[in-house]
Amino acid sequence: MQTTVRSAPVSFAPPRPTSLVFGIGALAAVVATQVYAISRSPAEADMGHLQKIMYVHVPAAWMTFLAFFVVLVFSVKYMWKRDENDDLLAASAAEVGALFNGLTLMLGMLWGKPAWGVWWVWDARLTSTLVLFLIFVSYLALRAFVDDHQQRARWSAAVGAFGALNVPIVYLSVTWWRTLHQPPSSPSTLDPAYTLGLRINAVAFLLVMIYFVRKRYEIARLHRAVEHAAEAAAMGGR
Amino acid sequence: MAMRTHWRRVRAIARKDLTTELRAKSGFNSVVALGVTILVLLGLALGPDTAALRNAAVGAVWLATLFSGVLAFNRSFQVEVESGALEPLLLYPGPRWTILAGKLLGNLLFVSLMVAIVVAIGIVLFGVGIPAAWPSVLAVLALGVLGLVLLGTFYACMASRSRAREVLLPLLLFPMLVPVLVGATTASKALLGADLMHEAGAWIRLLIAYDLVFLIATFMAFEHVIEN
Amino acid sequence: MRRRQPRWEDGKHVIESNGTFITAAYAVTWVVILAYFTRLMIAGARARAEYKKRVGGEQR
Repeated sequence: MQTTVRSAPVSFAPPRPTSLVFGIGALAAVVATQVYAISRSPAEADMGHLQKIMYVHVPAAWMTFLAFFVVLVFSVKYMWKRDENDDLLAASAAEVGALFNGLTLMLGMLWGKPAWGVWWVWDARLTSTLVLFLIFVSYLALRAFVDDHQQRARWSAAVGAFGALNVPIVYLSVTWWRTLHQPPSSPSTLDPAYTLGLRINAVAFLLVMIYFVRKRYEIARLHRAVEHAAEAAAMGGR
Repeated sequence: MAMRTHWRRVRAIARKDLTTELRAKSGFNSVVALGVTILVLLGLALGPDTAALRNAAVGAVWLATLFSGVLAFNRSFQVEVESGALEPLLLYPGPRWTILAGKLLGNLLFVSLMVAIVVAIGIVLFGVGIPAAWPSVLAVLALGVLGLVLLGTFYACMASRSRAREVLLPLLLFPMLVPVLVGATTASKALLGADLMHEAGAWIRLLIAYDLVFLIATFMAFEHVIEN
Repeated sequence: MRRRQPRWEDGKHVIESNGTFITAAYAVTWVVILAYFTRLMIAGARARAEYKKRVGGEQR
Protein backbone atom coordinates (compact mmCIF):
# COMPACT_ATOMS: atom_id res chain seq x y z
CA MET A 1 0.00 0.00 0.00
CA GLN A 2 1.65 3.17 -1.15
CA THR A 3 1.39 5.93 1.39
CA THR A 4 2.02 9.50 0.42
CA VAL A 5 4.81 11.18 2.31
CA ARG A 6 3.04 14.50 2.39
CA SER A 7 0.71 13.84 5.34
CA ALA A 8 1.25 15.76 8.50
CA PRO A 9 2.20 13.63 11.49
CA VAL A 10 -0.94 12.53 13.29
CA SER A 11 -1.43 12.83 16.99
CA PHE A 12 -2.95 9.54 18.06
CA ALA A 13 -3.49 10.53 21.66
CA PRO A 14 -7.22 10.89 22.08
CA PRO A 15 -8.71 14.25 22.97
CA ARG A 16 -9.88 15.28 26.39
CA PRO A 17 -13.12 13.53 27.36
CA THR A 18 -16.27 15.42 26.44
CA SER A 19 -17.97 16.66 29.56
CA LEU A 20 -21.15 14.77 30.37
CA VAL A 21 -22.24 17.71 32.47
CA PHE A 22 -22.14 19.86 29.35
CA GLY A 23 -24.29 17.31 27.55
CA ILE A 24 -26.91 17.13 30.26
CA GLY A 25 -26.84 20.90 30.52
CA ALA A 26 -27.48 21.20 26.80
CA LEU A 27 -30.49 18.89 27.04
CA ALA A 28 -31.78 20.87 29.99
CA ALA A 29 -31.40 24.06 27.98
CA VAL A 30 -33.57 22.59 25.24
CA VAL A 31 -36.24 21.68 27.78
CA ALA A 32 -36.17 25.11 29.36
CA THR A 33 -36.31 27.02 26.09
CA GLN A 34 -39.10 24.83 24.74
CA VAL A 35 -41.18 25.30 27.88
CA TYR A 36 -40.62 29.04 27.70
CA ALA A 37 -41.47 29.33 24.03
CA ILE A 38 -44.55 27.11 24.16
CA SER A 39 -46.03 28.82 27.15
CA ARG A 40 -45.34 32.35 25.96
CA SER A 41 -46.36 32.25 22.31
CA PRO A 42 -49.97 33.07 21.52
CA ALA A 43 -52.30 30.98 19.38
CA GLU A 44 -52.68 31.88 15.75
CA ALA A 45 -56.10 32.65 14.29
CA ASP A 46 -55.96 30.09 11.50
CA MET A 47 -53.77 27.31 12.63
CA GLY A 48 -54.04 27.36 16.39
CA HIS A 49 -50.81 26.39 18.00
CA LEU A 50 -49.28 24.78 14.94
CA GLN A 51 -46.76 27.59 14.80
CA LYS A 52 -45.12 26.00 17.84
CA ILE A 53 -43.57 23.32 15.67
CA MET A 54 -41.32 26.07 14.38
CA TYR A 55 -39.46 26.08 17.68
CA VAL A 56 -37.99 22.67 16.84
CA HIS A 57 -38.21 22.62 13.04
CA VAL A 58 -36.33 25.85 12.37
CA PRO A 59 -33.47 25.24 14.85
CA ALA A 60 -33.06 21.74 13.43
CA ALA A 61 -32.78 23.24 9.95
CA TRP A 62 -30.25 25.83 11.11
CA MET A 63 -28.15 23.12 12.74
CA THR A 64 -28.19 21.19 9.46
CA PHE A 65 -26.69 24.15 7.65
CA LEU A 66 -24.17 24.74 10.39
CA ALA A 67 -23.10 21.11 10.19
CA PHE A 68 -22.61 21.44 6.44
CA PHE A 69 -20.48 24.48 7.04
CA VAL A 70 -18.32 22.60 9.54
CA VAL A 71 -17.92 19.77 7.04
CA LEU A 72 -16.84 22.32 4.43
CA VAL A 73 -14.32 24.04 6.68
CA PHE A 74 -12.64 20.88 7.89
CA SER A 75 -12.73 19.20 4.49
CA VAL A 76 -10.87 22.15 3.00
CA LYS A 77 -8.53 22.21 5.99
CA TYR A 78 -7.77 18.54 5.50
CA MET A 79 -7.00 19.08 1.82
CA TRP A 80 -4.60 21.78 2.90
CA LYS A 81 -2.94 20.36 6.00
CA ARG A 82 -3.53 16.60 5.67
CA ASP A 83 -4.17 16.29 9.42
CA GLU A 84 -6.28 13.17 9.81
CA ASN A 85 -8.03 14.59 12.85
CA ASP A 86 -9.64 17.18 10.64
CA ASP A 87 -11.08 14.38 8.57
CA LEU A 88 -12.51 12.73 11.67
CA LEU A 89 -14.05 16.01 12.78
CA ALA A 90 -15.63 16.59 9.37
CA ALA A 91 -17.04 13.07 9.42
CA SER A 92 -18.47 13.59 12.90
CA ALA A 93 -20.12 16.81 11.80
CA ALA A 94 -21.54 15.02 8.77
CA GLU A 95 -23.10 12.30 10.89
CA VAL A 96 -24.66 14.79 13.30
CA GLY A 97 -25.71 16.93 10.35
CA ALA A 98 -27.48 13.98 8.75
CA LEU A 99 -29.29 13.43 12.04
CA PHE A 100 -30.54 17.01 12.23
CA ASN A 101 -31.34 16.93 8.54
CA GLY A 102 -33.56 13.87 9.00
CA LEU A 103 -35.20 15.54 11.96
CA THR A 104 -35.83 18.70 9.94
CA LEU A 105 -37.56 16.66 7.25
CA MET A 106 -39.78 14.78 9.69
CA LEU A 107 -40.76 17.96 11.48
CA GLY A 108 -41.42 19.67 8.17
CA MET A 109 -43.82 16.89 7.27
CA LEU A 110 -45.50 17.06 10.66
CA TRP A 111 -46.08 20.77 10.09
CA GLY A 112 -47.13 20.24 6.51
CA LYS A 113 -49.82 17.63 7.01
CA PRO A 114 -52.14 19.82 9.10
CA ALA A 115 -51.18 22.96 7.21
CA TRP A 116 -51.44 21.66 3.65
CA GLY A 117 -53.42 18.46 4.12
CA VAL A 118 -50.79 16.18 2.66
CA TRP A 119 -47.63 14.61 4.06
CA TRP A 120 -45.43 15.85 1.26
CA VAL A 121 -45.41 18.69 -1.19
CA TRP A 122 -42.57 19.45 -3.55
CA ASP A 123 -42.15 22.74 -1.78
CA ALA A 124 -38.85 24.54 -2.36
CA ARG A 125 -37.49 24.28 1.17
CA LEU A 126 -38.63 20.74 1.90
CA THR A 127 -37.34 19.45 -1.41
CA SER A 128 -33.98 21.18 -1.04
CA THR A 129 -33.62 19.81 2.47
CA LEU A 130 -34.31 16.33 1.11
CA VAL A 131 -31.60 16.73 -1.53
CA LEU A 132 -29.20 17.90 1.18
CA PHE A 133 -30.02 14.80 3.14
CA LEU A 134 -29.08 12.68 0.15
CA ILE A 135 -25.77 14.51 -0.10
CA PHE A 136 -25.04 13.77 3.57
CA VAL A 137 -26.00 10.14 3.08
CA SER A 138 -23.76 9.80 0.04
CA TYR A 139 -20.83 11.25 2.02
CA LEU A 140 -21.38 8.69 4.79
CA ALA A 141 -21.77 5.90 2.21
CA LEU A 142 -18.44 6.83 0.63
CA ARG A 143 -16.75 6.52 4.01
CA ALA A 144 -18.39 3.15 4.57
CA PHE A 145 -17.12 1.77 1.25
CA VAL A 146 -13.52 2.91 1.40
CA ASP A 147 -11.21 0.98 3.66
CA ASP A 148 -7.87 2.72 3.39
CA HIS A 149 -7.82 5.53 5.96
CA GLN A 150 -5.82 8.03 3.98
CA GLN A 151 -7.76 7.47 0.80
CA ARG A 152 -11.02 7.69 2.71
CA ALA A 153 -9.92 10.94 4.27
CA ARG A 154 -8.78 12.45 0.97
CA TRP A 155 -11.89 11.44 -0.91
CA SER A 156 -14.25 12.45 1.89
CA ALA A 157 -12.68 15.87 1.94
CA ALA A 158 -13.33 16.38 -1.77
CA VAL A 159 -16.85 14.98 -1.61
CA GLY A 160 -17.65 16.98 1.52
CA ALA A 161 -16.34 20.21 0.09
CA PHE A 162 -18.16 19.72 -3.22
CA GLY A 163 -21.37 18.83 -1.44
CA ALA A 164 -21.21 21.91 0.75
CA LEU A 165 -20.37 24.02 -2.30
CA ASN A 166 -23.49 22.72 -3.99
CA VAL A 167 -25.86 23.57 -1.13
CA PRO A 168 -26.67 27.13 -2.19
CA ILE A 169 -26.92 26.12 -5.84
CA VAL A 170 -29.37 23.35 -4.99
CA TYR A 171 -31.50 25.75 -2.95
CA LEU A 172 -31.49 28.34 -5.68
CA SER A 173 -32.38 25.92 -8.45
CA VAL A 174 -35.14 24.16 -6.51
CA THR A 175 -36.60 27.49 -5.41
CA TRP A 176 -36.72 28.71 -9.02
CA TRP A 177 -38.19 25.35 -10.01
CA ARG A 178 -41.05 25.98 -7.59
CA THR A 179 -41.66 29.66 -7.39
CA LEU A 180 -41.81 30.44 -11.06
CA HIS A 181 -45.16 28.74 -11.00
CA GLN A 182 -46.33 29.17 -7.45
CA PRO A 183 -45.59 31.50 -4.58
CA PRO A 184 -43.67 30.05 -1.63
CA SER A 185 -45.77 28.36 0.96
CA SER A 186 -43.41 27.95 3.87
CA PRO A 187 -44.43 29.26 7.27
CA SER A 188 -43.46 32.75 8.19
CA THR A 189 -41.20 33.04 11.16
CA LEU A 190 -40.91 36.77 11.03
CA ASP A 191 -43.66 37.65 13.50
CA PRO A 192 -41.86 39.34 16.40
CA ALA A 193 -44.00 37.53 18.95
CA TYR A 194 -42.13 34.37 18.07
CA THR A 195 -38.61 35.61 17.43
CA LEU A 196 -37.23 35.51 20.96
CA GLY A 197 -38.55 32.02 21.59
CA LEU A 198 -37.07 30.89 18.29
CA ARG A 199 -33.67 32.37 19.00
CA ILE A 200 -33.25 30.85 22.42
CA ASN A 201 -34.39 27.47 21.17
CA ALA A 202 -31.81 27.75 18.42
CA VAL A 203 -29.09 28.44 20.97
CA ALA A 204 -30.14 25.40 22.99
CA PHE A 205 -30.03 23.24 19.85
CA LEU A 206 -26.59 24.64 19.13
CA LEU A 207 -25.37 23.47 22.53
CA VAL A 208 -26.74 20.00 21.84
CA MET A 209 -25.09 19.90 18.44
CA ILE A 210 -21.74 20.99 19.85
CA TYR A 211 -21.96 18.22 22.40
CA PHE A 212 -22.93 15.62 19.80
CA VAL A 213 -20.12 16.56 17.41
CA ARG A 214 -17.46 16.69 20.12
CA LYS A 215 -18.56 13.37 21.58
CA ARG A 216 -18.70 11.73 18.18
CA TYR A 217 -15.28 13.11 17.35
CA GLU A 218 -13.87 11.82 20.61
CA ILE A 219 -15.17 8.34 19.81
CA ALA A 220 -13.67 8.50 16.33
CA ARG A 221 -10.29 9.53 17.77
CA LEU A 222 -10.41 6.72 20.31
CA HIS A 223 -11.10 4.18 17.59
CA ARG A 224 -8.29 5.56 15.50
CA ALA A 225 -5.88 5.43 18.44
CA VAL A 226 -6.74 1.79 19.07
CA GLU A 227 -6.29 0.95 15.38
CA HIS A 228 -2.98 2.74 15.25
CA ALA A 229 -1.77 0.85 18.29
CA ALA A 230 -2.79 -2.43 16.68
CA GLU A 231 -1.00 -1.51 13.46
CA ALA A 232 2.13 -0.51 15.31
CA ALA A 233 2.08 -3.75 17.30
CA ALA A 234 1.62 -5.74 14.11
CA MET A 235 4.63 -4.03 12.57
CA GLY A 236 6.86 -5.09 15.41
CA GLY A 237 6.09 -3.04 18.45
CA ARG A 238 7.51 0.28 17.30
CA MET B 1 6.04 25.50 -25.31
CA ALA B 2 4.68 23.76 -22.25
CA MET B 3 1.06 24.27 -23.26
CA ARG B 4 1.56 22.25 -26.40
CA THR B 5 3.05 19.34 -24.46
CA HIS B 6 0.14 19.49 -22.01
CA TRP B 7 -2.36 19.51 -24.85
CA ARG B 8 -0.58 16.57 -26.42
CA ARG B 9 -0.87 14.64 -23.18
CA VAL B 10 -4.55 15.48 -22.89
CA ARG B 11 -5.22 14.33 -26.41
CA ALA B 12 -3.20 11.15 -25.87
CA ILE B 13 -5.22 10.16 -22.85
CA ALA B 14 -8.49 11.00 -24.55
CA ARG B 15 -7.46 9.06 -27.61
CA LYS B 16 -6.40 6.08 -25.50
CA ASP B 17 -9.74 6.00 -23.73
CA LEU B 18 -11.75 6.38 -26.91
CA THR B 19 -9.70 3.77 -28.79
CA THR B 20 -10.24 1.31 -25.98
CA GLU B 21 -13.94 2.00 -26.16
CA LEU B 22 -14.11 1.79 -29.93
CA ARG B 23 -12.15 -1.44 -30.15
CA ALA B 24 -14.42 -3.04 -27.64
CA LYS B 25 -17.24 -1.42 -29.55
CA SER B 26 -19.61 -3.29 -27.34
CA GLY B 27 -18.91 -0.63 -24.74
CA PHE B 28 -20.46 2.32 -26.53
CA ASN B 29 -23.17 0.27 -28.16
CA SER B 30 -24.36 -1.28 -24.92
CA VAL B 31 -24.43 2.02 -23.10
CA VAL B 32 -26.53 3.55 -25.85
CA ALA B 33 -28.72 0.45 -25.91
CA LEU B 34 -29.28 0.85 -22.20
CA GLY B 35 -30.23 4.50 -22.64
CA VAL B 36 -32.78 3.57 -25.26
CA THR B 37 -34.09 0.72 -23.15
CA ILE B 38 -34.65 3.09 -20.26
CA LEU B 39 -36.51 5.45 -22.59
CA VAL B 40 -38.76 2.63 -23.71
CA LEU B 41 -39.44 1.55 -20.15
CA LEU B 42 -40.26 5.12 -19.19
CA GLY B 43 -42.61 5.35 -22.13
CA LEU B 44 -44.34 2.20 -21.03
CA ALA B 45 -44.52 3.27 -17.41
CA LEU B 46 -45.74 6.81 -18.06
CA GLY B 47 -47.88 6.31 -21.15
CA PRO B 48 -49.79 5.47 -23.26
CA ASP B 49 -51.58 8.82 -23.23
CA THR B 50 -49.79 10.91 -25.86
CA ALA B 51 -50.25 14.16 -23.97
CA ALA B 52 -48.76 12.67 -20.82
CA LEU B 53 -45.83 11.32 -22.80
CA ARG B 54 -45.14 14.63 -24.47
CA ASN B 55 -45.05 16.27 -21.04
CA ALA B 56 -42.75 13.58 -19.73
CA ALA B 57 -40.39 13.66 -22.72
CA VAL B 58 -37.77 16.03 -21.38
CA GLY B 59 -37.59 14.33 -18.01
CA ALA B 60 -37.44 10.89 -19.59
CA VAL B 61 -34.54 11.81 -21.88
CA TRP B 62 -32.58 13.28 -19.00
CA LEU B 63 -33.17 10.33 -16.71
CA ALA B 64 -32.13 7.90 -19.43
CA THR B 65 -29.00 10.01 -19.93
CA LEU B 66 -28.16 10.06 -16.24
CA PHE B 67 -28.59 6.35 -15.70
CA SER B 68 -26.60 5.27 -18.73
CA GLY B 69 -24.07 8.03 -18.20
CA VAL B 70 -23.16 6.51 -14.86
CA LEU B 71 -22.06 3.38 -16.67
CA ALA B 72 -19.93 5.36 -19.08
CA PHE B 73 -18.13 7.14 -16.26
CA ASN B 74 -17.27 4.02 -14.32
CA ARG B 75 -16.01 2.46 -17.53
CA SER B 76 -13.71 5.39 -18.16
CA PHE B 77 -11.64 4.37 -15.17
CA GLN B 78 -12.20 0.66 -15.38
CA VAL B 79 -9.20 -0.04 -17.56
CA GLU B 80 -6.86 1.62 -15.13
CA VAL B 81 -8.45 -0.04 -12.13
CA GLU B 82 -8.46 -3.53 -13.56
CA SER B 83 -5.02 -3.53 -15.09
CA GLY B 84 -3.36 -1.45 -12.40
CA ALA B 85 -2.42 1.08 -15.02
CA LEU B 86 -3.12 4.05 -12.80
CA GLU B 87 0.21 3.97 -10.98
CA PRO B 88 2.37 4.09 -14.09
CA LEU B 89 0.15 6.86 -15.43
CA LEU B 90 0.78 8.83 -12.27
CA LEU B 91 4.51 8.24 -12.46
CA TYR B 92 4.84 9.93 -15.84
CA PRO B 93 6.32 13.39 -15.46
CA GLY B 94 3.96 16.24 -16.05
CA PRO B 95 1.04 17.84 -14.33
CA ARG B 96 -1.79 15.65 -13.16
CA TRP B 97 -4.55 17.91 -14.42
CA THR B 98 -3.83 16.70 -17.91
CA ILE B 99 -5.11 13.29 -16.86
CA LEU B 100 -8.41 14.81 -15.79
CA ALA B 101 -8.60 16.88 -18.95
CA GLY B 102 -7.94 13.82 -21.09
CA LYS B 103 -10.59 11.77 -19.29
CA LEU B 104 -13.03 14.66 -19.51
CA LEU B 105 -12.50 15.03 -23.24
CA GLY B 106 -13.00 11.33 -23.82
CA ASN B 107 -16.12 11.21 -21.67
CA LEU B 108 -17.49 14.38 -23.23
CA LEU B 109 -17.28 12.89 -26.71
CA PHE B 110 -18.68 9.57 -25.55
CA VAL B 111 -21.61 11.04 -23.64
CA SER B 112 -22.38 13.70 -26.27
CA LEU B 113 -22.71 11.04 -28.92
CA MET B 114 -24.85 8.93 -26.62
CA VAL B 115 -27.09 11.87 -25.73
CA ALA B 116 -27.55 12.75 -29.40
CA ILE B 117 -28.88 9.27 -30.09
CA VAL B 118 -31.05 9.18 -26.98
CA VAL B 119 -32.52 12.60 -27.77
CA ALA B 120 -33.27 11.64 -31.35
CA ILE B 121 -35.07 8.49 -30.28
CA GLY B 122 -36.77 10.33 -27.44
CA ILE B 123 -38.18 12.88 -29.87
CA VAL B 124 -39.72 10.07 -31.88
CA LEU B 125 -40.97 7.92 -29.01
CA PHE B 126 -42.45 10.74 -26.98
CA GLY B 127 -43.89 12.73 -29.85
CA VAL B 128 -41.98 15.94 -29.27
CA GLY B 129 -42.36 18.78 -31.73
CA ILE B 130 -39.15 20.59 -32.73
CA PRO B 131 -39.55 24.17 -31.48
CA ALA B 132 -38.41 27.34 -33.18
CA ALA B 133 -35.98 27.88 -30.33
CA TRP B 134 -34.16 24.60 -30.95
CA PRO B 135 -30.66 26.16 -30.89
CA SER B 136 -31.37 27.27 -27.32
CA VAL B 137 -32.49 23.76 -26.46
CA LEU B 138 -29.22 22.52 -27.89
CA ALA B 139 -27.34 25.00 -25.71
CA VAL B 140 -29.20 23.82 -22.62
CA LEU B 141 -28.41 20.22 -23.51
CA ALA B 142 -24.74 21.03 -24.01
CA LEU B 143 -24.44 22.86 -20.71
CA GLY B 144 -26.22 20.07 -18.90
CA VAL B 145 -24.04 17.39 -20.48
CA LEU B 146 -20.93 19.36 -19.53
CA GLY B 147 -22.01 19.50 -15.88
CA LEU B 148 -22.87 15.81 -15.97
CA VAL B 149 -19.52 14.80 -17.47
CA LEU B 150 -17.52 17.08 -15.15
CA LEU B 151 -18.87 15.65 -11.95
CA GLY B 152 -19.37 12.16 -13.37
CA THR B 153 -15.71 11.86 -14.34
CA PHE B 154 -14.50 13.34 -11.06
CA TYR B 155 -16.63 11.12 -8.82
CA ALA B 156 -15.93 8.05 -10.94
CA CYS B 157 -12.25 8.58 -10.26
CA MET B 158 -13.05 7.74 -6.65
CA ALA B 159 -16.06 5.44 -6.87
CA SER B 160 -14.51 3.12 -9.45
CA ARG B 161 -11.74 2.34 -6.96
CA SER B 162 -14.02 1.74 -3.99
CA ARG B 163 -15.76 -1.37 -2.82
CA ALA B 164 -19.24 -0.78 -4.24
CA ARG B 165 -18.77 1.22 -7.40
CA GLU B 166 -22.12 0.38 -9.01
CA VAL B 167 -24.13 1.89 -6.20
CA LEU B 168 -21.64 4.43 -4.92
CA LEU B 169 -21.25 6.43 -8.13
CA PRO B 170 -24.97 7.15 -8.63
CA LEU B 171 -25.38 7.71 -4.90
CA LEU B 172 -22.66 10.35 -4.92
CA LEU B 173 -23.42 11.83 -8.31
CA PHE B 174 -27.19 12.15 -8.52
CA PRO B 175 -27.82 14.49 -5.57
CA MET B 176 -25.01 16.70 -6.85
CA LEU B 177 -26.64 16.85 -10.28
CA VAL B 178 -29.98 18.15 -9.00
CA PRO B 179 -29.30 21.71 -10.23
CA VAL B 180 -28.41 20.34 -13.67
CA LEU B 181 -31.48 18.12 -13.84
CA VAL B 182 -33.81 20.82 -12.61
CA GLY B 183 -32.24 23.51 -14.78
CA ALA B 184 -31.97 21.53 -17.98
CA THR B 185 -35.44 20.02 -17.80
CA THR B 186 -37.25 23.20 -16.78
CA ALA B 187 -35.47 25.30 -19.40
CA SER B 188 -36.07 22.71 -22.11
CA LYS B 189 -39.74 22.43 -21.23
CA ALA B 190 -40.09 26.19 -21.35
CA LEU B 191 -38.38 26.32 -24.75
CA LEU B 192 -40.47 23.46 -26.12
CA GLY B 193 -43.51 25.43 -25.11
CA ALA B 194 -43.58 29.13 -25.80
CA ASP B 195 -41.34 30.21 -22.89
CA LEU B 196 -43.89 32.87 -22.06
CA MET B 197 -42.10 33.88 -18.91
CA HIS B 198 -38.65 33.93 -20.48
CA GLU B 199 -37.33 31.49 -17.92
CA ALA B 200 -34.83 29.81 -20.16
CA GLY B 201 -32.32 32.64 -19.99
CA ALA B 202 -32.14 32.52 -16.21
CA TRP B 203 -31.70 28.76 -16.21
CA ILE B 204 -28.97 28.95 -18.83
CA ARG B 205 -27.11 31.42 -16.63
CA LEU B 206 -27.51 29.08 -13.68
CA LEU B 207 -26.15 26.15 -15.68
CA ILE B 208 -23.18 28.23 -16.84
CA ALA B 209 -22.44 29.23 -13.24
CA TYR B 210 -22.72 25.63 -12.08
CA ASP B 211 -20.41 24.39 -14.83
CA LEU B 212 -17.84 27.09 -14.07
CA VAL B 213 -17.88 26.43 -10.33
CA PHE B 214 -17.33 22.73 -10.77
CA LEU B 215 -14.90 23.07 -13.65
CA ILE B 216 -12.66 25.03 -11.32
CA ALA B 217 -13.36 22.85 -8.30
CA THR B 218 -12.67 19.55 -10.07
CA PHE B 219 -9.38 20.72 -11.51
CA MET B 220 -8.31 22.06 -8.14
CA ALA B 221 -9.24 18.91 -6.27
CA PHE B 222 -8.16 16.31 -8.85
CA GLU B 223 -4.56 16.10 -7.71
CA HIS B 224 -5.94 15.37 -4.28
CA VAL B 225 -8.14 12.44 -5.24
CA ILE B 226 -6.11 10.77 -7.97
CA GLU B 227 -3.35 9.59 -5.66
CA ASN B 228 -3.35 5.97 -4.72
CA MET C 1 -57.96 20.25 2.88
CA ARG C 2 -59.37 22.86 5.26
CA ARG C 3 -59.65 26.35 3.82
CA ARG C 4 -57.60 29.07 5.45
CA GLN C 5 -60.60 31.01 6.86
CA PRO C 6 -62.79 28.43 8.53
CA ARG C 7 -65.97 29.10 10.44
CA TRP C 8 -65.33 29.10 14.15
CA GLU C 9 -66.79 25.63 14.71
CA ASP C 10 -64.66 24.24 11.87
CA GLY C 11 -61.71 26.26 13.11
CA LYS C 12 -61.98 24.78 16.56
CA HIS C 13 -61.74 21.31 15.09
CA VAL C 14 -58.71 22.25 13.04
CA ILE C 15 -57.01 23.82 16.00
CA GLU C 16 -57.68 20.88 18.25
CA SER C 17 -56.52 18.27 15.76
CA ASN C 18 -53.34 20.26 15.25
CA GLY C 19 -52.50 19.46 18.83
CA THR C 20 -51.78 15.87 17.83
CA PHE C 21 -49.24 17.01 15.29
CA ILE C 22 -47.60 19.42 17.69
CA THR C 23 -47.26 16.70 20.28
CA ALA C 24 -45.93 14.32 17.66
CA ALA C 25 -43.38 16.88 16.53
CA TYR C 26 -41.98 17.39 20.00
CA ALA C 27 -42.08 13.67 20.70
CA VAL C 28 -40.12 12.91 17.52
CA THR C 29 -37.59 15.61 18.39
CA TRP C 30 -36.96 14.19 21.84
CA VAL C 31 -36.86 10.59 20.67
CA VAL C 32 -34.24 11.43 18.07
CA ILE C 33 -32.13 13.54 20.41
CA LEU C 34 -32.25 11.11 23.32
CA ALA C 35 -31.68 8.07 21.11
CA TYR C 36 -28.55 9.58 19.57
CA PHE C 37 -27.41 10.80 22.98
CA THR C 38 -27.73 7.27 24.36
CA ARG C 39 -25.96 5.82 21.35
CA LEU C 40 -23.05 8.18 21.89
CA MET C 41 -22.92 7.27 25.58
CA ILE C 42 -22.73 3.57 24.84
CA ALA C 43 -20.29 3.92 21.96
CA GLY C 44 -18.15 6.25 24.04
CA ALA C 45 -17.98 3.88 26.97
CA ARG C 46 -17.04 1.01 24.67
CA ALA C 47 -14.43 3.04 22.87
CA ARG C 48 -12.86 4.22 26.08
CA ALA C 49 -12.78 0.70 27.50
CA GLU C 50 -11.16 -0.60 24.32
CA TYR C 51 -8.64 2.21 24.40
CA LYS C 52 -7.69 1.46 27.98
CA LYS C 53 -7.34 -2.20 27.19
CA ARG C 54 -5.31 -1.88 24.01
CA VAL C 55 -3.28 1.22 24.56
CA GLY C 56 -3.27 1.51 28.31
CA GLY C 57 -2.97 4.71 30.23
CA GLU C 58 -5.65 7.27 30.75
CA GLN C 59 -7.05 9.77 28.32
CA ARG C 60 -5.37 13.11 28.65
